[in-house]
Formats: sequence, C-alpha cells, structure tokens
Amino acid sequence: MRAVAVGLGGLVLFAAFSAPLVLAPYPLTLLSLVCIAAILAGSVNLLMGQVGLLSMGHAGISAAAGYGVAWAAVRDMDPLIQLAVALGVTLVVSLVFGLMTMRTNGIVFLMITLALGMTVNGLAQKLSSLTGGQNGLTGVRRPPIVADQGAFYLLALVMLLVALAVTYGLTRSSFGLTLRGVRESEGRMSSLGYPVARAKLLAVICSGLMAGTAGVLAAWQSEFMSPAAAGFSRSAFAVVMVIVGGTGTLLGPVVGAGVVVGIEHWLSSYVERWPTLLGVVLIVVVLFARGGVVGAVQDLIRRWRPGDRGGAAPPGVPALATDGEAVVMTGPGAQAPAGAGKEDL
Amino acid sequence: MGAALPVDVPSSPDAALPGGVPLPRDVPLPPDAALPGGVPLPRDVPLPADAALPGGVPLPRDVPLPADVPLPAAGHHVLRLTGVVRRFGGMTAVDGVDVTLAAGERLAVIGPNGAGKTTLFRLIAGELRPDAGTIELLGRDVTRMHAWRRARLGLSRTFQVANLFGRLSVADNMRLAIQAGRPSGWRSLRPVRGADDVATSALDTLAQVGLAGRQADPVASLSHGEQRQLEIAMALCTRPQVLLLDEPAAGLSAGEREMLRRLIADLPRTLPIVLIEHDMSLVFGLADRVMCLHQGRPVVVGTPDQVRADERVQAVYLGRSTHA
Ligand SMILES: Nc1ncnc2c1ncn2[C@@H]1O[C@H](COP(=O)(O)OP(=O)(O)O)[C@@H](O)[C@H]1O
Ligand SMILES: [Mg+2]
Repeated sequence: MRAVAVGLGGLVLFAAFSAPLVLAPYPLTLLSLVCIAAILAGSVNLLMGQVGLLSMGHAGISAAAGYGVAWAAVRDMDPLIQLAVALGVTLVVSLVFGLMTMRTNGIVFLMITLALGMTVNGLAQKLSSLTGGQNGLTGVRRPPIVADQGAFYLLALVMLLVALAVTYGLTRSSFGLTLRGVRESEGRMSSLGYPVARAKLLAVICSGLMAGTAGVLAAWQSEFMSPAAAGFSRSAFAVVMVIVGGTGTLLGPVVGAGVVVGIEHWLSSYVERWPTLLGVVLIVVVLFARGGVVGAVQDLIRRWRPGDRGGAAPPGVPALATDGEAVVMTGPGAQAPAGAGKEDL
Repeated sequence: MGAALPVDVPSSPDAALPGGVPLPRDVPLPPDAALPGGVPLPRDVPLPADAALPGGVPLPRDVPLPADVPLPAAGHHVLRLTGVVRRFGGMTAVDGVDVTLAAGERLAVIGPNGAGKTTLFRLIAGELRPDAGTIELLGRDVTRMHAWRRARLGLSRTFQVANLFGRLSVADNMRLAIQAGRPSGWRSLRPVRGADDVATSALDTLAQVGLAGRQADPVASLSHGEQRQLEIAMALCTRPQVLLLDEPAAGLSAGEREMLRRLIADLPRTLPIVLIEHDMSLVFGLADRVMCLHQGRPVVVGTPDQVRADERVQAVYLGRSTHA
C-alpha cells in the first residue's frame, strides 16, 4: 500500500516537473494559478484544520504581500528587496489579524477576519499613491529568471512543495499538537497551562506567512495588482477550496485549488454561470463527503483494503492526513474530519 | 514522613470544655507562636515508629513521591481564599467564601446542586474573576492572574463534565498534559511520535487510573467512566502542587466509584487536594476537612464527622431532596 502511494506520488511529481516541457503557456499559467491558489488554501487550511478557526479574510493578507511586491517592482527595485517589502507587509498585516483575533474563536473569529479582509480591500482602493487605487498597479515585472511562464510555473510548484513540507512538519510537531488541543478545547488547554491566545497568534502568523507567499507569486504571475485581489470572493474561494479538497488534510487544499481554478478558468468558457456550478460542487461535498475529496478517497482506500478494520491506523494512509485524524476515522464511531470546519460555518 | 502528621484527627463531635463551652477547633497557629521562654514551637516532630491513627489504622508512611515535584514549603497554606464573591447577574453564586488549604491537606467541598461549588473552582482556577475577595496560591496573590499561569504555578483541575480533546487519541491527550509545563520555543517544532511512544510516566499514570493499553484509542470512543479516568490521569500528569477535583465520581457505577476512591486515597499524601463531591458518603474516607456550601456560603466547615453530625448540613441536603 505504502509502495503504491509512494509510486503514485512520484509519478505525479514527475508529471508536474516535466509539464513545462510539454505544455503550452496557457495551461502552464493555469497550473501556476493552481499552485498559487493551493498555497493560499493551505494557509487557510492550517487554521481551519489544526486550530478550528475559519478565516474569511485571508485574501487580505496575500493581497497585502502582493501589493508589497508590486509597489517595489514598479519602482524597479531588486527582486530581493521586493521580497523584503512583501515580508514586512505580510508580518505587519498578519500581526494585526492575529492580535485582533487571538482571544476569539468560532463566529467571532470569522467576522473579525472578514472585516479585516474588507479593510485591506478598502485601503487598497483609498491609498492610491501606494496602490494605484481602483486602477491598481500595472507594469509589475517578474524577476528575470522566472520571466518565462515555464520557469515561473516551476517556481510556483517548488514553493507549493515547500509549503506542503512546512505544513507537514508543523502538524507533526508538538506545536501542531498544541494547536489541535486548542481546536478541541481551549478551556482544557489553559487549565493545563497553555497560553492559548499566544498559540493562536503564532498560528495566524505562520498561516499569514504562507498566504503572503501566495500573494507574492500571484502578483508576479499576473504582473498586476488590483483591490480585487483582496476582495471577499477571493477569501471565500480559498475556504471553498479547503472544504472541497478536505479540511485538515495535507493534500486537500491542492485538490480543492485544482477543482476551483479548473471551474473558474476552464469550465467557465463552456458554462456561463460558473460560480453556480462551484456552489453545486460545494453543496454536494458538504452533504455527501464531509471529508472533501481527499477524505472520500481515504475512505475508499480503507474500505478496499481487506483485513484492516479498526485498530491502530496503518502508516500508509494517514500520511495523506496532516494530523493523524485518520486514527480517529478508523475507530468505531467514525467521525468526519471536516467536522471542525463545518461547525465554524 | 513529616507531612503525614495527623492534622484534624476527629475528636468526638460533642466534646466540650467544662461548662458546655465548645472546643475551639481549627484555630490556626500564628507562625511565630512560641513556648514560654521564647523556645520555638516544635514543628514537624518526627512521629514515633508505632504511631497509628485512631482505630489502630497504621499511619500512611513513605508514600512514594513523584520524583521531581518540589514540595510546598512546610507549614504554609497552599491556597487561601479571602472573602471571595462572584455574582451572575442578580444571583450571587459564591458569597463570601473564606477558606485555606494547608500543605498536604485534603478538603472536600460538598453541597447540593447549584450551591456554587463549580463556580468556586472556576474562581480558584482563574476561569472567572471574583467580584470581591482575594485568592492566594502557593504564597502568591493570583486574584488577577490568567488561568494558564496559575496552572504553571502548579494548579491542576479536573472538570465536572469531562473536558477532553475529543477527536485526539488518549496518547495525544496525555501528551498535551505532559508537555504543558514545558518551555516551548523552537523545541516545540520537533515532531511528536506515534501512539506507542508516550512517556513512561504517562503510561504509568494511565495504568494507575485503569486505562492501560488504551493509548491508541480516540477519546470519543471511551466510555463515560473511562473519560473520567482520563480526566484524572491528565490532571495528575501535569505534576500538580494543588489538585482540584470537580465531582470526579459523577455518573460512575458503584464499582468505578470504589476504584476512584482508592485512586484518590493512594495519591501522595503530600499533594493537597480540594475535592468537590455532592454525595457525602464518598468524601468521608478521603477528606481531612469538609466544607458544606449552600447558596454560595460555607454553612459548616469541620471534620467529616462534625459535618455529618451537623443538622444544618442535613437541613441543606434535605431541603435539596424535597425540591429535586
Ligand atoms: N456562567 C454562569 N452564568 C450564570 N449563572 C451561572 C453560571 N455558572 C453558574 N451559574 C449559577 O451559579 C449557581 C452555582 O452554580 P455551580 O457553581 O455550577 O453549582 P454546583 O457546582 O455547586 O452545582 C447556579 O445557580 C448556576 O445556575
Ligand atoms: Mg458543579
């Protein structure tokens, strides 16, 4: 089983890395957008899956980072300086998000992040000397080494893999366990001696750095920044990607990003009301596959495997899950891993 | 062991001074009290080897201490509440409670439902702030201190309604309890390992509460009684210096209650415990002192025998059973 998973993973990676050799620029652009969206969705998933916090304003963080890069890029600054500006902006915005939400959870967290996302959107329109206002910032140039779409796609792919590796490490660490403890019971965590607010602040900053990475790549990809990047719908799509792919699973955001970007850019040329289609997909997933696509696949694999009912989780399958929740799912009284995200909706 | 001095040995509840004057009970000694001639009071006098509790019960000696728990300074109170008041809207849930807990003492808080017992715990633990009064823990004023900081000082509690990490395994629940007091920083980025690799101390504690071999199970699959056992195991894992148990026996079968009674009785005698229990029968073997709360006010504080004999306590309980 494990061998099959590794083989399959290797195959996908090989295909992903060889894509620039065979694909035309437009499909490569789509794949780049999938990678970027997957990083943003991954940052949302880190909070949703681990801490049980649903952010409706993450596009605000990524757009802030994008504006940082774009602002520096139109002033012809070196790519490293662009990155430094983006990092600074991301840290500040994440800190604001974290400080304003660290004593909240559930619906209050959702509302504050929603408001903060809208604030970033509003600032992007108002601070026109920095952001170009409604017109946005045009004339952003990618760093020369990734000017070619194939090269840029490879950069986005590598950054996605880095984000996945960091997420995996984080969720396996005792810090990750702490975050899941916060998700399950804040009261118990503080009565055990954990500074819960501090843990949530750190989680929001980690997640924000990831969202910022997506924002930098998005600005370079489109070579343009406008307030729409911080719009509510961008934040909402990221959440939809997480739910469709599978909340709390490592690969869920990637799958979800594929589905959403696919519907948005590819199916939209055939179906006019593509957001409606996306809504239908979301409803189907929420009703019939609460673990999202990845959760459903894990269920299938488990059902197909003979002589493996209950007991300790097999090492192969939970490699897909970021937090060992597969252990829970194999037990009696099985429980959908998307539970946390659902409650917060 | 000096800490096992029989404090509060029950004298017969009706003992009185000549003339019917009741015996002064529980008078705290001033710390600077001295014998005539300035000779300091002999404190912590070693007990003769054959000393026994009334009824020939041998004194619990050489109770093993968990290896690295520092003892609270002898002779000090570990917990002191002064005039603690807490209101909810117009209702006063805790109404001027004064109580101290000495090092190594076991205090039971009894009282009918709604008496304010849990609210008192939440005040001590820092989940609620008192409207009036002060709370001292291990010699520090913690009245305004965060719950998690009080926990780091050594306060540990269990919850009346099991408050566990439901979708995590038993092992992860124990891990969270163990790693709680540890300094975090970069080391918290190290991976935690599988279910079989919990610290041996955690495995011992699990076995002690009757959950041996269950570490891979998700908490949601545990029975009610097992969840209560895990509650206690987690509270013990944090190496507490003061332990608060909120109705640990609630909803347990007779057999489980007996097991729990023995578990508490076997805890190190140096560990001060406050035990909430609204069934009086469980506390009698366990507590050195009993406080009966009614409508947020301590009605009677005394030895188990005194409290059992006190008609005000009986009235409180009878009053409850007529309207419950
Ligand atoms: N958070 C709260 N808000 C309002 N009233 C409360 C709250 N917590 C407890 N109470 C009230 O305070 C009183 C004491 O409750 P509690 O301390 O839980 O009693 P006990 O644990 O002795 O059964 C009850 O009347 C209860 O309804
Ligand atoms: Mg109670």
